[in-house]
Amino acid sequence: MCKVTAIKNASYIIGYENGSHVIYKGGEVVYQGDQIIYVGEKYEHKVDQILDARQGIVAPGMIDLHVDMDALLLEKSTIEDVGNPFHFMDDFYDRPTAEDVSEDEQCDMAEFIACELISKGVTCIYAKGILSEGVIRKLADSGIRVIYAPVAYDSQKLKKNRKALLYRKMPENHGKDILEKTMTLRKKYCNEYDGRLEIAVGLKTTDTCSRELLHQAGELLKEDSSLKLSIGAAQTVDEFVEIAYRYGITPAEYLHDCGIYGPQVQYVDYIMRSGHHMNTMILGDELSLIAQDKTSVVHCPWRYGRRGIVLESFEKYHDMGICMGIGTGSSSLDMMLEMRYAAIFCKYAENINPLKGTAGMIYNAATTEAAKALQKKDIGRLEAGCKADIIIVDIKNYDCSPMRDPVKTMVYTATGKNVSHVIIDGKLIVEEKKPKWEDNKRRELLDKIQRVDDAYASHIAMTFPIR
Amino acid sequence: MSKDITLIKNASYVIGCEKDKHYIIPDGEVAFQGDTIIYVGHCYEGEAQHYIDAKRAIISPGFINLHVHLGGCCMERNILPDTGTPYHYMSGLFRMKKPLEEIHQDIMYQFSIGELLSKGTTTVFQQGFGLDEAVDPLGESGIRAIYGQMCADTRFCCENGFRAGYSSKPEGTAIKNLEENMYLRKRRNGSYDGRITIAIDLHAADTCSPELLEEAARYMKEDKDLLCCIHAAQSINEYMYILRTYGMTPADYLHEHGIYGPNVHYGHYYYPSGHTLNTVKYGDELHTIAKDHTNVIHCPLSFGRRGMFLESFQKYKNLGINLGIGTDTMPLDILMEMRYASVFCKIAEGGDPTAASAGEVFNAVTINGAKAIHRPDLGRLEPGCKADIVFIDTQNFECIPVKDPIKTIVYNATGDNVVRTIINGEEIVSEGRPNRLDMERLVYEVQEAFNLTAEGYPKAHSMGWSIDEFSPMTYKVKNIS
Repeated sequence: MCKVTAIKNASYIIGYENGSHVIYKGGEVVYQGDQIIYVGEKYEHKVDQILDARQGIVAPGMIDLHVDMDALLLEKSTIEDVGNPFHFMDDFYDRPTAEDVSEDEQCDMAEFIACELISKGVTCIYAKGILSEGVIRKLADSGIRVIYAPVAYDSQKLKKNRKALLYRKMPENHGKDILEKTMTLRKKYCNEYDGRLEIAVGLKTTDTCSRELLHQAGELLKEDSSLKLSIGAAQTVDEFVEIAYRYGITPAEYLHDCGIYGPQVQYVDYIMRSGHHMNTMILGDELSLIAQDKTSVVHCPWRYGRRGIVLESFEKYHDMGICMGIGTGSSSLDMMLEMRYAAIFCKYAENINPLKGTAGMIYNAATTEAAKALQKKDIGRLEAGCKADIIIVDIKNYDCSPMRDPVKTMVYTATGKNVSHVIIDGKLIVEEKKPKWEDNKRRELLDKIQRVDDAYASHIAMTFPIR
Repeated sequence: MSKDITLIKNASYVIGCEKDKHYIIPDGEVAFQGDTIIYVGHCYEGEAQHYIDAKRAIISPGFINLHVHLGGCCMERNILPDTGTPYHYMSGLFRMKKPLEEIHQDIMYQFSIGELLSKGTTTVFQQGFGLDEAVDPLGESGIRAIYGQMCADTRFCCENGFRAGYSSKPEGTAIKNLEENMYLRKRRNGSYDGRITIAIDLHAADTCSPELLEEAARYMKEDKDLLCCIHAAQSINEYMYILRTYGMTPADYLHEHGIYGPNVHYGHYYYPSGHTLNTVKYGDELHTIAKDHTNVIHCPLSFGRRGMFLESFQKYKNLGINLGIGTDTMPLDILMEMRYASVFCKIAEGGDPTAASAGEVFNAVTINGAKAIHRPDLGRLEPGCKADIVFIDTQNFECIPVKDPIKTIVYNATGDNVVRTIINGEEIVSEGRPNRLDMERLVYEVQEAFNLTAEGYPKAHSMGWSIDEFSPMTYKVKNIS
C-alpha cells in the first residue's frame, strides 16, 4: 500500500465543490500515492506521515499551458526595449532561436526551465520545442507533469532581411518527418514516467506550415482522439496579413479548413485577431469560430506585455465562450506574475475597468480551465480522486500579509518565490523552499546557462555604457 | 561614526555614476568609509578594514521611493483589487468616510518599513495619514526618510453614495497642523545622522484651500531646502471639482497659489486633460508643470491594478518633466514598480517596446529621484556620495542569464532578490531581512490589526458596507476550523 500523507495546519485550502474552487479556512488535504483522497475538515483515518503547511495556503499546482523551449531563456535582460519598426515592433528579428544553441545546451535549458517552474509552483506544463529525446527526458526527469510537442514546420521566416517579410522553404518532407517521429515517440513514451509524460503534436505557426502539413496533422488528430496539438496562431500582424494574402481568410478559418481545431487543439496567443487595435484589417469573426470549435486559446501576458501589447481582452475571449489558459512563454517563468499581468492588462483593455479580469477568472485559467483545455479531469483542483499535484504558499512574509482572500493574494501580491512546498504526482519535490535537487546541481545549472548566454553574441546595445 | 573603510568585492556588476549618468562596471568594486563612498571602479588598491563578499550580486545604488503611505498601505492590497466605484470613474477615493488606517498605525508603519527595506528601497518619502510622531520608527529602522504631517482642510466624502464631495475639518486644523509640522522640522530635521528630513505634506489639490496652499508656499519661500508633496490630478472627480470651482486645471490652481517648482512633488498627476478618462478640453497643464520644474511622482501599480495607466511616462519625460516613482499602497517592491512603469508606458504608447526603457525607469528611482529631493549625493554610486547600496543577487533562476544588469533589475528580478542593503554606511538588510525589525512579530501583529480593521469596515464606508460587500471574496468561503 502507498503511504498516506496528511497536509495539516493550513490557514487556507483552495478546495473544489460543485464545479468551482472554494476557499476553506483551515482543514486538511490527504493524499495516498499519486492521488488526493481527502479534502475537508478533518481526516478520520490513520495517516503515515504529516506535512506541516505552516499556516500557508494549500492550493492546486498551477498549469502553464505554453512553455517555449526555443532559446527564449537567452532573451532575458537582452530582448526587452527592442522592436522592429518594419514589423509592427515585433522582436522576432532580434530574438535568439533554437538554431543559436546546440542540442546539449537545449537540454540544459530544459532542465533549468523545469526547475524554475517547479520551484515557483507550476506542476504541469505544455512545452513546445525541438525534436529531442534529451530535452524530453530532462523535462520529465525533473518530476514535472509534461506534455511535450516537438515543433513541425516546413518553412521559416528569414531574419536576414529586417525590412521585407521573407520565408525560406525547408527541404521536402521536413515537417512530415517531424510529425512521423513525434508519433513514434508518443508510442515509445506512453507508459513511462508514471504517465506524467505525454507527447503531443506541435506545429510552429500558421504561416510556417503548409496546407499539406496542416492536413496531415489534422488527420492524426482524427485518428487518435486523445492526441493534443498546439500551434502558434495570430501571434503577429505579419502572420495574420500573410495568411490573408495567401488564402483570403483569417488564421482561425484557415486552421479550421485544414482540420486543426477542436477540444484537442490549443492556439497559442491568438492575440492579433482582426479587431485588435494593432490589426486594422477587417476580416471575419475569428473569436466566434474558435468558441464554436471549442478550440482553446493560450495567453502569454508577459512576452507581449513587455513590448506594450495586450490581449483585447481576456474577458472578451472568455465571455465569447473560449476556454482560456495562461502560459509563461518562457522568458519569465513565474505564473503568479503572469496571472497579475493577465488581470491588469485585461482591466486596461476593457476600457479601464477594474471590475474586469478579476482574480477568480484569471486563477481559473491557471488551474481548472487549463485542465479543461488539456482534457484532463484530474488536475487543476484539489478534490478526492484527483492527482496529488499540490502547492503550499507561504504567507507569513511581507508580500502576503495581512491576509484576507488567498486568491487575490496569489494573483495580486505574491510571487512564485513565496511557494514553499511543491508536490507532483504525490512526490514532494520542494520542501520548505528547498528543492529536492541539490544545491550544487542548481549552481551548476545556473553557471551552464550563463555560459551559454555569454557565448551567444547579442548585437543589442547595453542600457548604460560599459567601462 | 566609524572611519573604517569597507570594500565590496566579487560583484558581477557595479552600477557606477559620473556627471549624472550611470555606467556599468563588470566585476567592479566599491569602497566606503563611514557613511561616504570613496571608490567605485575596477580594482581598489587602498587599504580597507572590512570586506564584503558580494557573491556575484549586482551592486546598485539604493532606490528612492518617493510616494508611500506607510500608515495603511498594507491594509489595501487584499481589499482594493477588483473593486471600483462607477460614480467616481472607478476610483476608490471618495467612499471612505475616514481613513481605514487609524487602528494600530504603529504596527502597519513598522511592517511597511520592513517591507520597503527588504525589497531595496533605501530612501522613502512617506505621504499622508502618518503617526503624529513618525520620526522614531523611521529613524530606528535604519531607512532614510522624508516625512511630514499631513495637512488638509477637508476630507473626501460621499453622502448619498454617488456624489463625490468633501467634508470640512474643524476650522483652523490645517493651518495648525502645518505650524506643528514646521516646529517638527525645527526639532527633528536632520536627526538620525541626517537620515530624517521633515517636509511639508499637503494632502491633495481638492482638499487644500487656497489659504493653506499659500501659507505652505510662504514657508517654502523662507526655506529654500523645504520640500513639499501634494496629490494632484489623481481622480477625475478632483479634476472636475478644481476646474469648476476655480476655473483652472489642478496644475494651474497649484501654480496660482505658489505650490510649484523643483521642491514640489505632484503625487500622480495621472489625469491631465487628454488622458483617456479625462475628456475635458482645457489648458496645457503638462507644459506648465515642465516649465515650473515641478516633479511628478508616478505610482504605476496603485493605478494599474484598476487598469489605469499614465499616458505616458515617456510623454511626460519628453516634455521635460522630472519623474520619480513610488510604490504607493500596493506591495512595496520598487523593482516590480520599475517594471510596471516601463510596461504600462509601452502599452499606453500603443505597443512601443522602446518607450520607457530600462534605463529611463532606473534613472527615475535613482538620479532623477535624487534630483526631486535635492540630494545629488543619493541615487548613485560615486565617490563623495552617501553609502546607500543595494546588493541584488543574480545567482538564481529569475535573473540568470544576465546580459544587461539594468534590464535584469527592471525586467527579471523582484525585490526578493535584494540580499543586502547598506544605508548611510550601515548594513540594514542582511540575507534579505531588515535586521532591526522582527518580521515574524510584525506579520502576526499586522494580521491582528487587519482583522480589527475589517470588523470596523462598515463604520468607515459611506454606504455602511461590510468588507465582504465592498470586496467580495473570490470564491465561496467555508469556515471549517
